[in-house]
Amino acid sequence: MFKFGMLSAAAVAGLLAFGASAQESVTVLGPTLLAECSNAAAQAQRTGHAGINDLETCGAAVDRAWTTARETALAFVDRGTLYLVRGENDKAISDFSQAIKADPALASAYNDRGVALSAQHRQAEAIADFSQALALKADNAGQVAFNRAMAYEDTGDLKRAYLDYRKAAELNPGWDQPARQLARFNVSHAPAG
Amino acid sequence: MRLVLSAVLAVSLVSGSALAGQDDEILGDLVVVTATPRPADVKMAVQTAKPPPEKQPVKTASK
Repeated sequence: MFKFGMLSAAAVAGLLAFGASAQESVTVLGPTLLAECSNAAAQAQRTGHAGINDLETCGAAVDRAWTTARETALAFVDRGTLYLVRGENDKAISDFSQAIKADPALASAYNDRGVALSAQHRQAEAIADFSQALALKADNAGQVAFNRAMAYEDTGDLKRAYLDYRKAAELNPGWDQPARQLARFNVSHAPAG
Repeated sequence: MRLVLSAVLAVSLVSGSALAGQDDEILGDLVVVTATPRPADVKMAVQTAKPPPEKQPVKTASK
């Protein structure tokens, strides 16, 4: 009886130790990889440079089986950003499309794919993606409207470009870029009546 | 034949008017817009990547 009690206690202690170890892995490994990939993408965006190490980090993040579709989509968006910075637009578009497939409600994936499409002079598709990002209430809607304004301008649709620069200025009043672009436009209005 | 062509033309004009009306609604009373070329250093931007919240569990880490 005493021996059985000792064995049971040891078994319980072992299970507890195993549980603690597994829990530790969950909280340390997962978020760190996605955060590293995300930080690499943010830094690449700031510096205009994305190295092979950054791609490897985000490649590992993309390959991991995440708990939520949002996490999977974010990994693809971050790696897509790295490809975009490197000028590898086909790969960027592919990753942003994978992100949209994983999480069709992720507004930033549409915006970012729009940027990559625009770099390939596919302005009609880019405009459709920017519009979808705005419809999904993208976080920085002013930036998305600005991107769409540029795409419209590149198609020669100056009226819609002007209106989108104006929208960008309204949505992000502290940002001077929309006002600078609006200053380039010469607008006339229809006479009243 | 002439009647058919007239009918097609009338439908086209009506469609064109409807589209123009739609544009007017969107564009307000803007009728002429010109713009000087955009400076080359004005770039589009991706949405800034956001690190995920800490301590989210993942499937593959379980033993």
